Amino acid sequence: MSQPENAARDTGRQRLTRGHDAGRSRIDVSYLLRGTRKNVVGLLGALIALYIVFGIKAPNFLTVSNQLSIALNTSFLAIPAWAMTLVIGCAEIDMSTGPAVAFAGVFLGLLVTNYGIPLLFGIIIVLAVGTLLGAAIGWARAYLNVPTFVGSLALYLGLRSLAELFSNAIPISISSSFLGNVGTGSVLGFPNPAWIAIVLFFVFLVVARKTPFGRSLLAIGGNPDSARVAGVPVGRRKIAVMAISGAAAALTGIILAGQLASGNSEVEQVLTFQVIAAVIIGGTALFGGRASMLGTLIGVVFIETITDGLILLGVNTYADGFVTGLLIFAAVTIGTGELRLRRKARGGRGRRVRQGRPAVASPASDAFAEPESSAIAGGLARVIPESGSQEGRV
Amino acid sequence: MQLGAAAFGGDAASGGVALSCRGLSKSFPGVRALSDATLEIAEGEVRALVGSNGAGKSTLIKIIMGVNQRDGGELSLWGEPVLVDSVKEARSRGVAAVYQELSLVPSMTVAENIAIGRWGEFERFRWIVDTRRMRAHARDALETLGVDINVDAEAGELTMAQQQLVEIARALALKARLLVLDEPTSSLDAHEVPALFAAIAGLREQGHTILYISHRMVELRQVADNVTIMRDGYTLGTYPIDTVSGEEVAALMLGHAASESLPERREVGRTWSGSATATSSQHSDREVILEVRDVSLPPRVVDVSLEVCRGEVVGLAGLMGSGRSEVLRCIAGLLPAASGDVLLEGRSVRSKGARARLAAGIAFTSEDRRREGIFAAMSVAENLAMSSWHKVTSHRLVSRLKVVKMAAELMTRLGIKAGPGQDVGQLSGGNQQKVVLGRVLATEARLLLLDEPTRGVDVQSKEELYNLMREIANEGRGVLFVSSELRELEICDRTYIVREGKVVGHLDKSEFTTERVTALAMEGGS
Repeated sequence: MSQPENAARDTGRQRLTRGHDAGRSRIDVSYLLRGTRKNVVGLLGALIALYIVFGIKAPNFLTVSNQLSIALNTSFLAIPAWAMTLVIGCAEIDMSTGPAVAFAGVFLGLLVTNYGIPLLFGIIIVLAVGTLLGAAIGWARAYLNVPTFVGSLALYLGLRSLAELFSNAIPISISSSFLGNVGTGSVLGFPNPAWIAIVLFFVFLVVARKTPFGRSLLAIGGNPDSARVAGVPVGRRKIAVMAISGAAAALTGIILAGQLASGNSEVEQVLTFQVIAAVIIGGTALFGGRASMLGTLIGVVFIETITDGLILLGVNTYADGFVTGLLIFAAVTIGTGELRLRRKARGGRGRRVRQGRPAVASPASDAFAEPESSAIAGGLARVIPESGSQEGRV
Repeated sequence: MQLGAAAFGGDAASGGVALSCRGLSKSFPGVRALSDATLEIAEGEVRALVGSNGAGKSTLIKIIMGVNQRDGGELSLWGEPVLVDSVKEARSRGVAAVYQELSLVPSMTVAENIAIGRWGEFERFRWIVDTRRMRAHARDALETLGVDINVDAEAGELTMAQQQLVEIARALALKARLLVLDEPTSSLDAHEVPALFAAIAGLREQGHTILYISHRMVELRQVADNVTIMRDGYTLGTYPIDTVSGEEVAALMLGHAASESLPERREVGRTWSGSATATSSQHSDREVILEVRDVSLPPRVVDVSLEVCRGEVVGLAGLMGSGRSEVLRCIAGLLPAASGDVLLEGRSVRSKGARARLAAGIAFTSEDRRREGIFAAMSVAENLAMSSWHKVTSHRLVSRLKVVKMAAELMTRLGIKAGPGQDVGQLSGGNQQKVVLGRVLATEARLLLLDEPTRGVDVQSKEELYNLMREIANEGRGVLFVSSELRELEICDRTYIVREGKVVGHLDKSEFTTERVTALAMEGGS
């Protein structure tokens, strides 16, 4: 079969792609980087717009100290968000993040202050417990078929209650110069938590893009049945990804305890939703198979920038959530609206396989046809349509 | 067609003609799906429709059901020429179809399922559904069918046969007088079939007309009056079911010189036989790679034993629902066999699960490429690497260079026409299939279980796939190849035939004729 013959049977779109490929060298390494850019660029545009508006309207917004404060606040959102990107990319979800952060701080306070356990051991215990709790949710998902939405929601309620129970809803102070330095100190003028978040960003970036583990998470998210047939250890991967999410929440709680010099059961209860929002804004598909670490980075900055700017503008704190909600909704709507247009332009959702005519696959229709995946993924798949397949990279 | 006209008369007594098609034709871009479909079904007749894949059965049904519009020909229902241009139109004229895939909502009751989409008919006070009337309506429909199913049961709790009957009841509730049943027994277990047949017989008594599509001659004899045979878009004739043998039907379905209509295959077939002789002389010691001993997973797999030798392409033939896929899945570890042994190179494979079996050297590709084969949103290169990441990593990190290199090798070898970075979802069916095949080749499995690898693949790619299978075997691996297109199994060194979960026959290459395979797959006991 000669090339032209084959091309003649293909659709115009495929022909274009093929022509494009032919121009490139045989060994093409750009493929792992391709993809995320479009949605990252859009989000970056929105962020710049925010900066312009706030820069003009809020006098102190563009000062160095305010920017550093954004960086500091972002880091508590960012660390769990890195993990959540993997979780959601794998078509699971972790609802327990917010209470898990609060619980980690209270638990650390309980261990260190009330029971006099050395700080380092306390930290190790808290990290281990966080990891195990996440792993338990993953295990229930993998082997008992309990959707992670349900499992982690139960954990959400349980940890919130435990955090209050352990502390009587009164902050447990933790006096440790080391922990205090981790939470409030800075290196080269940049706050330590932000450093940690940045270092972890690169770790997660490598894990997501460059390890078989990360790639198989996306494969599981995209097509769990194919993954099983292809010999990907689906159950183990799910346990691992949930454990990572639990560990990230515990770590966040520890750093936050350092910043506040106490374990506080009332902190960061809404964090779960901000984290999920940041990940989705960043272009990770809520039903898995597509994840963007870079998008999540911009997503968390976007959310914290809104919060910060609104405070500087003197907007009533109670209105803050309302405005943030609107902006998040707008960001996602614009994103998906653009995707829908692109899909239409591409010739719709059909993928009829008919004899003699190669099918043009649309991942969107695949997502709809997929009966599996967790309840939330299934339900929200209809709300946030899959984009073109260009977005498949982390 | 002339035969068809002659074969009537028997049912003239029951009155008029329910369905009459004359010269129906239909083309899709690149394919002439239906060339001349001509048949008449008398009122109160149960008519069987048989034909191999691509004979045009589904197209014919779709035209009758208003799903597709005919290009030419005439269609009349109860003597009235009609232009059925929508499913709604067909429904209003008393035609309904029950398809292979059941479409009940499992979480709703039987009554709700029967009334689905027609809530308006049971309204009270303008917007409250009168459940009593709805349930009575459902009971009536089930009574017409002569079955006793609780209308308040949830559809999901019913057996497959009961669900099938509810589907038929739903069609009856729509006042359908002509029912099209598409392979209604394919999802049923053997003991569930009589209830369905009793219901069909009852409907026939009441003057309903039924068009029954199935491949199972044994069943057709129990249920149908006449059989219409289709091949390559033509209706070849209609015969009283008692007057034809399974072999005759098979011969007509396939055409006496089936292979002549496929010159390109014949040609490639010669090369195969050439290489096959070479192969068998090379591997005359018949080193067994796979031995399956009495593997059972009732009711779909019953005491299956078979062998695949090094260098062999072995076929596994059977009709839809015969259990052939289940046999492969048991071997691949995707279904847990209840009993029996799987031996790879003489050693019993104890490990369970697809992952462990793959590691042991047994690779499987699914018949459902989209659902269980590809990762549509991932690149060709990543799809190829998915089962063998350890080969493309250095220091535990994925090496792009290694990935692309491995991909380039496999793509050249398999003739995948795409870029390594292209998303697999964008490729044609044939290329997707090659990607799936490439993924298992990368694992260096010694045994390849290929379930319908040629489904939804264009003719040229099919041929390439045949040649690839032969090449893979010649490298010293074993290939077990399942196909429902029986004639493509002529490329195999040997073919096992499966029916109702049992191996009912075994044909060497020299004995292989499509008629034989078809007859065995449909009814014979050899």
